[in-house]
Amino acid sequence: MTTKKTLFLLVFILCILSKISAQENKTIINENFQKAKIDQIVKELELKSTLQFFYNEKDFDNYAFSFKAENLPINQFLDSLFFKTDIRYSIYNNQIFLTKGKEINFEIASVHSKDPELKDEESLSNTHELSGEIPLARVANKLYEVGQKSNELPTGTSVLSGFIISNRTGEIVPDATIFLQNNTSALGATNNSGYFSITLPSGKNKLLIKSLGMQDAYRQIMLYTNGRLNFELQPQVFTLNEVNISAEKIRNVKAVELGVNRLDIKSIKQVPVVFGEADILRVVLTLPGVKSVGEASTGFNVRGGSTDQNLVLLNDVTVFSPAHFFGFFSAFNPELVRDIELYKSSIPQKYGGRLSSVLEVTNREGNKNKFTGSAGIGLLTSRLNIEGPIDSGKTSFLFGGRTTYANWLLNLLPKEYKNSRASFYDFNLDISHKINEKNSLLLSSYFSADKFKLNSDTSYKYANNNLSLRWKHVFNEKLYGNLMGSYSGYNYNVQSESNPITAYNLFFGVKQGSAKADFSYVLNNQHTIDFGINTIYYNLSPGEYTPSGESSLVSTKLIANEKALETAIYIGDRFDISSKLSVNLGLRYSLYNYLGPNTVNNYAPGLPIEENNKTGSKTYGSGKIIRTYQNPEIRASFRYSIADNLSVKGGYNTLNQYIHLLSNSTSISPTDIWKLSDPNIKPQKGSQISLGIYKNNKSNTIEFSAEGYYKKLKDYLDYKSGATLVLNDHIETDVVRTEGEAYGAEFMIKKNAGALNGWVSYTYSRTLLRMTDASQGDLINNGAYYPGNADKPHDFNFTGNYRFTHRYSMSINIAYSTGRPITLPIAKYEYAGSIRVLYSDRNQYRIPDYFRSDISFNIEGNHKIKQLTHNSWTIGVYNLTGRQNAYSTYFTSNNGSINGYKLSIFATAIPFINYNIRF
Amino acid sequence: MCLVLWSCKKPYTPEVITKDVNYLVVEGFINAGGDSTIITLSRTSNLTDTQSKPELHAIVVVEGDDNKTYNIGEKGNGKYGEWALPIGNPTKYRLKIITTNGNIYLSDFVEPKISPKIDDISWDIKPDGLQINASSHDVNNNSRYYRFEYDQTWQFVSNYFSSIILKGDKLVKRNPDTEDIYSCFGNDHSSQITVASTARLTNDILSKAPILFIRSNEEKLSIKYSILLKQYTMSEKEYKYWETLKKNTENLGSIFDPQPSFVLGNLKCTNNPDEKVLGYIGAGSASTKRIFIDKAELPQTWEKEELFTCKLDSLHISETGVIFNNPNKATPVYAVYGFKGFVEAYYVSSVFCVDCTTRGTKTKPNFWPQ
Repeated sequence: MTTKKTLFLLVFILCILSKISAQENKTIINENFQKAKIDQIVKELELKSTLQFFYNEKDFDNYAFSFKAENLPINQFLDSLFFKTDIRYSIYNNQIFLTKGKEINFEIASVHSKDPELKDEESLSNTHELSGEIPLARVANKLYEVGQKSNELPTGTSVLSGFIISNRTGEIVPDATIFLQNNTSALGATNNSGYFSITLPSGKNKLLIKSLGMQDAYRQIMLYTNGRLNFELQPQVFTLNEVNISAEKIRNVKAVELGVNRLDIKSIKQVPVVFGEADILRVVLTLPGVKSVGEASTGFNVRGGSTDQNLVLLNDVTVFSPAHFFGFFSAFNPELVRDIELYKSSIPQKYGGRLSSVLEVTNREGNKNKFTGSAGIGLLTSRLNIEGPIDSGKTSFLFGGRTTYANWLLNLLPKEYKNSRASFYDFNLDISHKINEKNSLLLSSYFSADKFKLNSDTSYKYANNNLSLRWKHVFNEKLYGNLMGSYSGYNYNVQSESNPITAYNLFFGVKQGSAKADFSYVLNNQHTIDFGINTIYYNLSPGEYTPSGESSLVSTKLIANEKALETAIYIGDRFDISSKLSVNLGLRYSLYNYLGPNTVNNYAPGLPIEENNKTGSKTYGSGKIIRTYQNPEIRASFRYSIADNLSVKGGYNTLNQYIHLLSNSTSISPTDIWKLSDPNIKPQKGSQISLGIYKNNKSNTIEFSAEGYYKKLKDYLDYKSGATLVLNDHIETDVVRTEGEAYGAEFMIKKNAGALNGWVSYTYSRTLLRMTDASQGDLINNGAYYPGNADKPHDFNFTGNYRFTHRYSMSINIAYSTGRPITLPIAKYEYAGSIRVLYSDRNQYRIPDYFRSDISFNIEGNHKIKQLTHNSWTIGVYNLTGRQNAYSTYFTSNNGSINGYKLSIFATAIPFINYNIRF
Repeated sequence: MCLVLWSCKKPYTPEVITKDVNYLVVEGFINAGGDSTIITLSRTSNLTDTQSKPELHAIVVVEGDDNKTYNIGEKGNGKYGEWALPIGNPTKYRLKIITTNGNIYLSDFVEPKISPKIDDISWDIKPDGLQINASSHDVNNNSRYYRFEYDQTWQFVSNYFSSIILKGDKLVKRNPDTEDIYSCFGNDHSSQITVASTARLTNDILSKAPILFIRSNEEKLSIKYSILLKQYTMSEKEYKYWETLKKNTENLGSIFDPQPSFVLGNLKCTNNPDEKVLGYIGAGSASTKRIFIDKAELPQTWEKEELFTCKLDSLHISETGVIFNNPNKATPVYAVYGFKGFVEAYYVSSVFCVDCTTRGTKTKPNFWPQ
């Protein structure tokens, strides 16, 4: 501190002196330099005059000067020579001191800028390093130089690239938007890795950087040539200041993509959820166009698609079963998540393989500067999270674990449930390591396991295992790359041991190994090109039924493993045609190979695929390609800005899906199985066209969007009546291919700032399926269109948070939707000793409408920054009105009479309390 | 009933669905084992209807793929039956029905399946009741798919032993040999579909397939109980039909259950292929086995739970009009005599507490041991 002040004082004096002295020294210079080094110039001048120069040679190593001086006074000569450089001079009598310019940048301010902000003592800090490290721009009032310096006035445009990081945690900041000061249109934004590459006029620029959760930052740069500079931002102290979400806001109107919802963890945590534990998938369900078939299902349906048509990614790795505990909790630890992004319409070309949507869940990076952690205690789960640096600010880890102790709750249930047991755990460990400015590594892992037994002797277990290693590499200012290898596995196990003779074990597993390389190339100001390749190797164990115990007579039944390779290459160009019109054109080519060893059944052509039409089977050897499917896919969207805060967007997509979840129940159940496309089961295909209008009001604090879409589905799988899916080695005889259409309109108003914030969404949508190909067997509903399981035409959601003070806030959540379609009994008849019901055609009726309201209060502890722990409480009530929403309905014949029942889950107001602690 | 936090099961009656649904329902079994073949024809009725709709005056024929036909005569109330058709392997058979409206219905040809004998009916004592299981095997590994029906018979007594009887307008002593209403036999035919499969086992050994569960406090177990089990074997297709029918009509309601759906059998209307026909016609023979379980073999702590709240009321001789006017409410149990030897009062109770014939029969089945 003292040295800094002293230095400042010295320079200050020098500056004053230079002003005076400069006028006194009348030395005239006549020189001609071509790319001369400083020592050359100094030597020359000292030789030809009485001048004496003082400078640190090392400071000027990388300067080359070209200048022609004819009869110039020394001060004018020096002014011109060092014009556009940061070299400052001070003349004291005949002594000339050359200093590295930043220290006295008000000099340059007085020449080139009228900005009074530029005067600041901070400007003394010495951050310019010559070691090759990329400089870090930390403060607003300093001029940062980028590129190969020269005294020539830079002209044209240059590319500036680098990372934006948070100064508190050292984490990268994605989605930060960079603006030229006083210009509302963004130059660019950081990608998911916090990397940006922008093109801007060479010379002196003042930049404004906006990012969610960060303070708006101004940075001054002197851009000589293409170069790199990292920016460090200050996080908002969220409890004391409103979060500025301007960057996010502008995205609504400015981004080329449509049908994208992005939420950061803070908004997610404001939504009240059952048992008070922030739940990512439940918040996703409040977004327009996203529905669920019922309360206890965290499978979700996007724009009428089925639950398996969503690609759910955690740190870019597929999560096959994103739910815990019969679906009551989602599999993501909210304490670790940084943000989520849901693509419903413009699915980026780098993703594929699912028809409806991509849900990207991204974890934070561990704090690189200090150890911190948090812990939470709830009614059903507890969690512990720790993060911190491993070595000198380059490596950090992030660990989070959750476990449950729900058995006490099950013990409260009536006697017939007393044998029920349920538990789960999950943990994440992410390690990020920055090798140098151009390379970084991220190791990410996720493991979860669930175990439950529902009032029977049969126990169920399932587990997710994910592991990935990612290498981020910056080739140069314009080219950025991301290489990743990952493994993702899911398996379940059903065990029954009550009868030793029939005791069995049923195992199902899916393993997926994946490698991908994604690149982003900034061609120029107008074109950003994304390209890459990815490949997935699938290995499925579709069922292993084995005896459990020695006395079991069960014969082992193994369904042959299925293997396939799905490869895709893609290229996309984001083209800013004008400041108003931008397009994104993407092309993806997917190639799918179903691989041996396997035996494939053949069926008589033209006849329904049924067992009695089986003509034989063919066995293929290991590694043999049994069947290839290949499909080009189009990903296109445009954005036209009508005004600064008003735009229209449109998009067209085609997609293919090669892996299918087979489920004969309406919600995702742990015993559903994944199936690969094979010669008898074609890939599902979908295409979607959508159009939307977006408007931001009140300086981007109120965001409005309206989107309409029309979707076509082909070879969508539905099931024959009473289909058997488990341990079936001819599943093709139990499924049918249907074609479908889905259309709808989604409206959303979102308020991001102020004491009251939140969103309201309304969706009207339909999903209709039909089976037209009679050669597959009996036509469902005689080939007429019937509503899909997720067809709920009206859907309304309100999610709001009101902050009374910085410490107290209240959240309310209201959801209404039309009941989902069901098949109802229409008649009865006597059969097998009992009255039985005859069901209607598929999905011809609806369960009663759904309505739910939740409320929660958040109480933050005190806000002293320096204290050992920060704590907070959440209390609230889920399903405040206690409405008994029907989850399903069913009819049973009991002693000859037919009784209808509806089953409700969370059918009463559920109070909850949660205690969180951060350290 | 609402489970504390989780879920809640409530009666649900959707707006009355009045659809004009009138499908033919065919139930039965072509018996190729020297026993009677009984086919029941009826029509579906609306959910709110209380009466069943038998299909009368149809022509019912069993046809073999050897072109022989056998008429099945009408027995009334939608029942059609014939004793011991002279049929058997390797011929395949189908059922043909011509209804009075001229529609012709045909089942698929089915191969008669001869059921192996039932090895054992075992029972396990569980904390809250009795689990009855069946074991079978087929040395040829041919049966694989099993279906069971059963008849239960049990001896029981009513709450109160009645020693007097109302005859005309008089209350007289009851003859314990001919007029007893204390001790009866109850019986019941299975109303649930019970299927089992050994398709996933190496050998066709059906081990302790669960047949039914009787709660420890049921009247059935109060004195002596008997079950006659009938075992059928069938094709995979027929098994699938029964399994789906069971899933659709008995098993729904838990969280992971599949959706209900229309269950297609093996019959078609030949002159109107769009008309749905319900039912599955199989062929073959059944094997049967009977066991008895005596109260003495069961835990002593098991006690029958009274089906009704029974209590004795005393009626003064002056109030006996109730007995004559409403004998179901006040069935006489015994008389109270005064010191002069005259009846002073009668003890009465509800008919269900006194008269076992309200839910059973006095006729002792001929298989019942002495």
